[in-house]
Amino acid sequence: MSLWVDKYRPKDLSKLDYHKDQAQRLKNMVQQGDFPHLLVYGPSGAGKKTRIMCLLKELYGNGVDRLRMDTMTFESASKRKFDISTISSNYHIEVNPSDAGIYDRTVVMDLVKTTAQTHQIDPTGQKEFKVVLLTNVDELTKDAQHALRRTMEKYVGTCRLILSTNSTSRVLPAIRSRCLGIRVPAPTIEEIKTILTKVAKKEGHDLPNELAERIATTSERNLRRALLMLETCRVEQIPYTPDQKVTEPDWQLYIKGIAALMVKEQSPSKLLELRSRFYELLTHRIPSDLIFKGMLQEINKKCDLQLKIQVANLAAEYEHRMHQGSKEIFHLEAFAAKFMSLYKKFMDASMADFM
Amino acid sequence: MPPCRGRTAVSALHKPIKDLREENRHKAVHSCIRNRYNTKNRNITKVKLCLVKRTMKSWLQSSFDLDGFDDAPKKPKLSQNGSSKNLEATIEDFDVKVCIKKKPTNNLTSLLNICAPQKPVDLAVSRQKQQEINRWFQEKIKRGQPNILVISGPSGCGKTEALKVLAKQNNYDVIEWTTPMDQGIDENNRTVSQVEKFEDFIVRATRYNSVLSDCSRRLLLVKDLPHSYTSGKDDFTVLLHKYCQYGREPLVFIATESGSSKLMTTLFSQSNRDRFSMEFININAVTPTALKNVMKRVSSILNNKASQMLQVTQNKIDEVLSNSIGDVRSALLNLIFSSLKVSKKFTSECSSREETLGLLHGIGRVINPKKTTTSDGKSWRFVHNPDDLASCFQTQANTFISFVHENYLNTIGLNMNGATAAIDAISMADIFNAEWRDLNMHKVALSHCVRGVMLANDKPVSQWNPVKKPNRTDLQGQKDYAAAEIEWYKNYITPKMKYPEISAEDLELLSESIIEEIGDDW
Repeated sequence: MSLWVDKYRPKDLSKLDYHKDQAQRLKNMVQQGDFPHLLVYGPSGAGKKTRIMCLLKELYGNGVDRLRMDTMTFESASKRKFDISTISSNYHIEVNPSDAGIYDRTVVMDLVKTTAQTHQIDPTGQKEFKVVLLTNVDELTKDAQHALRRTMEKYVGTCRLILSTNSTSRVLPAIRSRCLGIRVPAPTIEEIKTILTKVAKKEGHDLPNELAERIATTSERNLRRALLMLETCRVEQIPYTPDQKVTEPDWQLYIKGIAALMVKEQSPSKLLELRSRFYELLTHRIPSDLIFKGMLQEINKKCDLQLKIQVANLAAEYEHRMHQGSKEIFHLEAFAAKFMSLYKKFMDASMADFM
Repeated sequence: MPPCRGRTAVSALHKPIKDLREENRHKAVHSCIRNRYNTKNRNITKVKLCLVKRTMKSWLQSSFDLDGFDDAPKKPKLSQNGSSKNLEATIEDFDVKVCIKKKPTNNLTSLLNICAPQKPVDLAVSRQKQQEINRWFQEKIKRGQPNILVISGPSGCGKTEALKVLAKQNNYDVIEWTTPMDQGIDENNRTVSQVEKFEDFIVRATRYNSVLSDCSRRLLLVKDLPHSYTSGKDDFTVLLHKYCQYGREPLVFIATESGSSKLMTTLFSQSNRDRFSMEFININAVTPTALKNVMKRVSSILNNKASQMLQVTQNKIDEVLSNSIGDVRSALLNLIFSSLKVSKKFTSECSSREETLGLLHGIGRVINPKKTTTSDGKSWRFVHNPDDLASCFQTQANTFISFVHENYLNTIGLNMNGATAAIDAISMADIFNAEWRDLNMHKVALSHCVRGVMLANDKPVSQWNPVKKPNRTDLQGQKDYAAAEIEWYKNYITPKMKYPEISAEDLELLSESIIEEIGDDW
């Protein structure tokens, strides 16, 4: 049984539920049988991946649906071997290069090279090029991005790149200028509600408007999460009732808890406790910038303006360090420690004033 | 006749290098000592040769002279020799007489030989271990039956000497196996491999009595096994089996290893131990007190016998003792080296065997930094130099930093600022480490981490802290938010695998306001 998210994912550009004129434009673009490198960006759960797959289907036909999962072995410059899992069809290959950590440069170069070096013998029946789909491009290190830039130019005859990212701010300008940027904005609350109702109807359930509204708001305009929440609600209680509980991902609570702990008491032993919580989050594959963001949001609620500036500064610094380094836990913990000593100092000072 | 070293003074004089090599079969030989010593030795050799020419006496005389030295306890013979020599030398000029009178011991082999312990009291090995070995001699050995003992311990803790002295005391003759340097050829001009020779030695060496020995019983001693056993090419078990069938005399292996090393686990594995009922005696590194006693004894011997080239002072002994790590041989060599009378002033550059730090030991020194104030009382420095610590772990910088990170909070106590400074240094070290274009960056990273953490912790809290292993988050799969989200909900929707939910205790920790906010969201 597949999840509703996968089950009701549109497979065709004409069946997309929102951003219809964008879909039409994409369709027009591939009608020529060719397209430039693409950089698809937009918030999480907006439908980037869905649109990319629709586009590929428009281009290659049904063959792209036959997917297989592989692991490819790469060898870094220092002769260290590592495996990366890929999803591929005959026409494209999808990779998340940030899996390789600091060795992502090797992955990007080798992958594009191996894909691009095979030419089609008879280009009449098929397209001349294959597609390499790289997700989470903003997680790539600067070196990998530079390597990507060079390979992009070199193999443009046999290979098209589709890069997918949440934000373009961490993508090199050089790469941005070589790609056609396609922004996929998050769906509006209304659009999410329509989709939720549609899906519920197809499953044979009646979705009250209030619940749909609440799911849409809680999901923060993330369609994937909204659909997952809808399915979770079905597991918990059916038929739907308007005042039903909506399950939020518990790591958000968890991050809130971390922030609360940091404000409550500042001591090395608390820091040790925080570390185990960070580990817990990281082992559940929660991206660490999300942790930073969540912590900062929570902390800001408790601090006054003067402190807010400093805390935001700190968070920015350590998040930057985290992207430069390779061990996220060090930087998360360093931020927590820095904040705690800052907060402690601030509280002591204000207490002294009060006395 | 046991295969023993050439001990005539002639060979000692003319082939100092070879002799030294034989003496220092153990790997822990300081090449610098050797070089220094050899240059010194060669000079003396020259002098000696001149002397021989001038006196027109056969050098047989001098050979006796030094032979006497080799057997230190035979003092009467020595003095006789000396006096006879004196008589003969009366026609020579004064210099020569002095030279002969002093009886120069100018060869490292003989120096080390006169220092060797003669009585059980002299041994550096603890009394308890001596008793264990004695018990083995007296109780376990049955006449004409094979019996195996394995003595293990770190290098230079006195295993061999202890065995030799105690064997002598128990009236045993020690027959030692020395792995031949070059290929042997038997009577039929066939080449014989080391292994064959070794097997031959194990089975047959005790068959025949030595004409020279006066001890009634014999004992086989094996210190270095032919290499093909350790590399697993030849079956050691088969050899032991053979020994148990044909052997007549007890066999002693000496393993310069600690208990968990490869040699101990493969060759002397538990199954082998049970099968051949081996006895095991593990000897620890020498304690400072025992080493001090040894040094005291040795210094008096050296000052007596080799005063023309050595001058052992208390200062030097103290220096050697402070640098030693329970290795008698290295301490002794250092003492001899630093006490050499040389015209040019040398500072003792190589003062100790380089210490190999275990990972846990190193972590302990970093998270628990010890300080000493300098003599003027104003400034201080670390007891363990951070750079030395860092240099011990250069090949595993990443692991070391992870370990430090996992454990630095153990000793930080309530010092929040210290903790902040320490984790800041660690975080910075990680950035250095991620720089892959420069091969030396990891050393910088390591040094930064070690220094940062040591400096941050100005008052380490000492308590019992087991060192913990770092978590391996880097082995996790992709850090993909979408995947994480789907997985989490999937576990919810298909509740086969239970997702570790927030426990009640965690919820309690959330402050009131947060719970209210969440309530609003619902």
